[in-house]
Amino acid sequence: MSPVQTLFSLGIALMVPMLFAALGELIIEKAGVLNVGIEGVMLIGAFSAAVGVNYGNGSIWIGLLIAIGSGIVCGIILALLYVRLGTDQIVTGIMFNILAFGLTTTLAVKYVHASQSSQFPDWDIPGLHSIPGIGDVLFSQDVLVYASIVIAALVWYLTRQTWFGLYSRAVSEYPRAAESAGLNVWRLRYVAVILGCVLTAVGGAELFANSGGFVAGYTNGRGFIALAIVVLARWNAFYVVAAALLFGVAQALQFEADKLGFLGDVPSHVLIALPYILVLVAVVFARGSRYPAAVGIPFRPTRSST
Amino acid sequence: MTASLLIATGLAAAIPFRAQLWNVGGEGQMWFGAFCTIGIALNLPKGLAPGLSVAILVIASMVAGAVWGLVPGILKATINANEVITSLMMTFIAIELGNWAIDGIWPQGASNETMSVPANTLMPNIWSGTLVTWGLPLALIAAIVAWAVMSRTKLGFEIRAVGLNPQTARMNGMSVGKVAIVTFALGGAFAGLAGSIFILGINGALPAGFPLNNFGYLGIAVALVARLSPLWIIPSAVLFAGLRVGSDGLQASTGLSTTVGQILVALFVILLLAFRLIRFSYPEVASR
Repeated sequence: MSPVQTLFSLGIALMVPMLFAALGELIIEKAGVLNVGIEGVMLIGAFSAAVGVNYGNGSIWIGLLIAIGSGIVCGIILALLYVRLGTDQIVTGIMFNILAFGLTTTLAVKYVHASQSSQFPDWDIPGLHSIPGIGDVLFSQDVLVYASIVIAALVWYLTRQTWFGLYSRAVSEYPRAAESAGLNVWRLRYVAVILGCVLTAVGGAELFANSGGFVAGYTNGRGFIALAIVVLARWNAFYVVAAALLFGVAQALQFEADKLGFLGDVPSHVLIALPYILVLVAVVFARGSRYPAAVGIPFRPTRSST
Repeated sequence: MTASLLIATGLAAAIPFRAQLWNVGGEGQMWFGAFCTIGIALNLPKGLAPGLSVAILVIASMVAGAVWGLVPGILKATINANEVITSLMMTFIAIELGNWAIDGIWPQGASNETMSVPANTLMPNIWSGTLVTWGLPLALIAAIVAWAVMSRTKLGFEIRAVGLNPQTARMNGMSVGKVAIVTFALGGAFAGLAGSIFILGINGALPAGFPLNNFGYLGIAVALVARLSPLWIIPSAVLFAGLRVGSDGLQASTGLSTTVGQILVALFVILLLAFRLIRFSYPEVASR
């Protein structure tokens, strides 16, 4: 493959963790909750995948299963805090991130072997894979890459075409009215937070699979980039794919710049910081993008809710 | 001395939080302050009096932190960008700058640090034989200044008013954008102070990895437990410093990682949040 092809091929692989996290965040925000703890959930997902691989004879599928389980647990805890107890979502999320960093770093010493890694199998799509030029780049990826695109379409369908999407839009824009109309605001938000955390944790599992093993604090802001991706994509699941690809390629640059020639002289630290700088630029471009009105504000039902 | 860092980063969070502006980038503002402290200290003229050079560096570091804080502040004020995202991104950029300083700009060679700052720029010890340097009184003064600003000036009143209800504040002729810019600059300056105290009063160089890590984030916990009151930040910081130092001691005796302290801190604050001992007020979502 030519360097440019490698760049995009790698960019697509690196896109996937952020894509899963951003799709999860999209579902959560569309129900009126801001999950700043996304970084921590992703880190716990990556750690759980590493533990699963470690105790599952190196099978990444067991890792994925454990990661999904950890996503459910994180989702339940965060849903209780954000929704049931009505704690401040930003502050709680930041504290959850510190907790996740501390827990995974402490436990990794004991339960994870740094060298143990495992990857999702690659799948060359028959026929499409041999298209010259783009076949190798687009259709010779690991299975989670294809899964992420399918899930993006499902999330689009869920948020735009189903009763769940309609109800959660009401809950995220004007929960009091949604309640008057007979919706259970809390129950909808519980479901959204747990579902979103599962997707985020799967992103963490792919992050682990992409790398050579679990490293403390490995997410390195990818969860926060996912927060920005959702804003940039204006809560549209298909735009999320495009925005995630942009950041995936930006992250891939640091590995491929030396082969691209014209970027060879740029210091590596600038390239590592590039995705973060790009987020700031993206935020400026996305300035018309408006959060759903009730995002970040805890909701107290007027009557006692089960 | 850990407490003095936490006082400064606690203030960095508390002042914007008072205006319901979430400056969660204290970590980055501290790193950038430390980065600039190193850079300037290595290039100051050699003959400068120790007191003067320390003063220059502390002020420069505070300005640097303020500049770093201004970016999310201005983006918030002008285009209403989510300050959580922008201040976190500035953090990652600052940490990468720090890493660059360590292995590219001012490397020390074998050990994973930047070059040490010259002796005439170090903060002197207050009592010989202890590790307590002038960084501690500086942090205490900062807390008192912050208290005076918040509760005794018009600016402090505006900050609190915006925090309680931005709409009402705007209708009374206050500029919410101005408050965003000023609080982020002030917060950044205090975080920058933490950076210079770390370099000049504690370590003498910028090390890679954990020693400086997470003080900015822990400052958020400190500020929350102090209920965002500048003076209460002092005992709160001492408490958390005790936890951190205690967990270091625990590591020595039981072989547990130092990150245990962070788990305790985070759990503690989450429990306080869960039991509504730390609360915030929210406007009811209105129909548009």
